[in-house]
Amino acid sequence: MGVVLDRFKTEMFGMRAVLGAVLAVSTFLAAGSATAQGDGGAPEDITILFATGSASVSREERAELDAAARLFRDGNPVVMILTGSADTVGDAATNLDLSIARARSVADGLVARGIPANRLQVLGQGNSELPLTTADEVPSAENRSVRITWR
Amino acid sequence: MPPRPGRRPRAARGRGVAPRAASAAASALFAAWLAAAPVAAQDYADGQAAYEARDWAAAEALWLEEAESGSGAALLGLGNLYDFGLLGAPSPERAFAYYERAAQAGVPEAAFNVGVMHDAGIGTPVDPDLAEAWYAFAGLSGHARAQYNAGLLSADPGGGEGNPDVAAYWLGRAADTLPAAQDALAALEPASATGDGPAAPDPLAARVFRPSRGPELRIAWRPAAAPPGATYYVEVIRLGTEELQRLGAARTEGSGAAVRLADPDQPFAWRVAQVVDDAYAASSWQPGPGAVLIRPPGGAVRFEYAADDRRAAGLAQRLGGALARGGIMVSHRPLDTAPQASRVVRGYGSDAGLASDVAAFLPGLDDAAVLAEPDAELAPGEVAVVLSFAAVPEEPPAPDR
Repeated sequence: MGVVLDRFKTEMFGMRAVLGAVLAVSTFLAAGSATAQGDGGAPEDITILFATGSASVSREERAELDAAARLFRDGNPVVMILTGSADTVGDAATNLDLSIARARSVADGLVARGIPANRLQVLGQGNSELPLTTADEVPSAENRSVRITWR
Repeated sequence: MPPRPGRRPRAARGRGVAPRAASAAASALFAAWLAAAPVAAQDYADGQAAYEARDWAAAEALWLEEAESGSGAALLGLGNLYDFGLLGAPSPERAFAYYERAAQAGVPEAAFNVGVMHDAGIGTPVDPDLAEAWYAFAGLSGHARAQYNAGLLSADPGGGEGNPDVAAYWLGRAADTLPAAQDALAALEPASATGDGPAAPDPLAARVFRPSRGPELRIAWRPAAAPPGATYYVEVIRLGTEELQRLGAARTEGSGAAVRLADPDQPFAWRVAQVVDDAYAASSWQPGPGAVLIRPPGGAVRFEYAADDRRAAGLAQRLGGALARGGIMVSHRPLDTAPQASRVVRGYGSDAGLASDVAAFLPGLDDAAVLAEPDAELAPGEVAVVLSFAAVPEEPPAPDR
């Protein structure tokens, strides 16, 4: 697990995504906190859960993708960050790859809903910074997940 | 905080040379001039060019000018400036107002933004009805994500039964561009054949839009759960001091429709009916913005007679006048050939009562003359009165005529 903590891997949808994200984030920060839902905060975080060893979004979880995509507006100064995780069962390197695959799969689902790819930031964290800290070899549904956050 | 992005690159480049002036006084003067300098709007071809050069103030000035002449793109741009806080603190309220104007000028993206802002409560209170209506408005002009959202809301309205046929209508339109819409379409549960008759849809909203193809009224409703194959008929009527008159109508399988309007400033009212086979259930009449509906129409009668049948035309005019005074919408249709016999035709079983009433009102006709004929041109609530004097010998004209 310690190895994975050092191997923090970030993937972007090309260089345009980086520029888009930086621009959008700086615009957003300049804008203060006002955007998205209700009286200003970003939308609530959304978590997509996965079956053990799987990186495909189940039919039940698609509603969460719909919820994430529903309020995204063109030009809205928000970047969606998709953070994939895996539970601690099995090899750490495999889990890192799995977490990236999960985040990409969520990104694909959002792009299929019309969200521009350059507004998505895909992040795989493997077994590091898990939603639920566990010992090694502990199955956890909460950790087999992708968190969608807004910035 | 990072620096605000509100620089003027092009103008700044030119002015950067000037402060070689040595004295502090000159610098102060220059600073004062800089602060008071009018926006260098002439540097840019249009607001979009200024925006792309990140010259927000010039973009605003140019877009305001372009908006004067009704440019939807300029109104959308102004909305963006306030939405993203490029002119100071963000103002979701002003952004919303500009988006709404841009949408009504015919920009689908702006209509989608208005839907999302109603959905999330940004710049306007949360309003699920208006969110759904605006997704339909944007969807009617082809915005795929709006169609997708409209489809999902129809499939699962979040309380109450969904309407899979209407969901399929919207998702099918989005499926060309959004792969997720194909999946959602495939996952729809088919409409349950409840055997129930139609139920009146909930009217949501109507707005006048002025896209380049000409002004139109877009109307949205939330359909009740329906047996498979239900359709929706929307009708727009003219209000005012003159007699009630139909301005337009549309039939669809979805939950929104556009009706072309010759004069969008005329006061109007609309309603929508769910049609199942030959039965329908209509919403109440909804007055348009600023319109007052004193008395809703009590049905519609269309007179049909041969163009050269003077007696039929005369009778239709007299009867029509009386019906119109009674609050019935009256229209006339001349026919090329004389009909076989006088009769009353209804398009829908739901209008049997109206047809009988109209037949009883006519000299020489009764229930036996009421025919149920499928007539796609008859609206819900409308019957046709077919008049023919062809078989009746004409009396000789009175001697003093």
